[in-house]
Amino acid sequence: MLIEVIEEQSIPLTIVGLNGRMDSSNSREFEEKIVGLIQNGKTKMIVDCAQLQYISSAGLRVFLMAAKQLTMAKGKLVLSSLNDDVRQVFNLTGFSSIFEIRDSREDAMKSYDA
Amino acid sequence: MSETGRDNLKAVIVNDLAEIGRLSEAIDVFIAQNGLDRKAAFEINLAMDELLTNTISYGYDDGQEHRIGIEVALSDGVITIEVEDDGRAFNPFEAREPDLDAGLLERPIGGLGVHLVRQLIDEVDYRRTDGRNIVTLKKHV
Repeated sequence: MLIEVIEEQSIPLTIVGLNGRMDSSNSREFEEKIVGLIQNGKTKMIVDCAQLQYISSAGLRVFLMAAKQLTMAKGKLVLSSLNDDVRQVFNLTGFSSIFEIRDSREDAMKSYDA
Repeated sequence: MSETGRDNLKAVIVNDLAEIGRLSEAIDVFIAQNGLDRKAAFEINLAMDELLTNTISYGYDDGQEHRIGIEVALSDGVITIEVEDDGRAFNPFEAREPDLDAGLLERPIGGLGVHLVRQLIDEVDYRRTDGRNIVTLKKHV
């Protein structure tokens, strides 16, 4: 799995792009990255899942933990561009109703405009 | 380490999380060879990932290498999978179902893996025989 971090200066917010599979063999890497960002005060975050091909509960665990930490820090986590498989996992676990999910990175950025 | 027949697949993996991805490639080939929907491969692989992650992460406490046997068979539109390991006795299907209606801050971290298995697989069974855990999954495809 590749993790790309972009600092969008205009809003400002942090965009994390995931590429590949997220499962128990590599979710720790994502956890360390996202916890590090939150600890550095990055509390407005988008995780772009356009290139995320697969997610297991090990990955969901990290998303939930990050969303809780961001909410408690008065920030938020917005997810974008889930493929059908990833969307199914979110639907089956009720995560679709507790996460803010947008169809595209642009839509996710717009959610920060208000 | 797998051998694929037309309507069955036998594989042995060791207790290393990286083995799960390799097994999923063998299952992808098996599903494709039998002309089944790619979605079935995704759902079976996710269920296997969740069960094997539990076994490999929590099933052993001796630091040794262990083998886990997997048999996949297709018959009359049903895929049957049997997973056999020599880890500590553990019935994954005794786990309590998560509360899917809880809000973000109330949601506990974890406990979703077995829930996903139940959602993705039509019939699940567990038995302990001769010091081994045997999990059987059946899915209509």
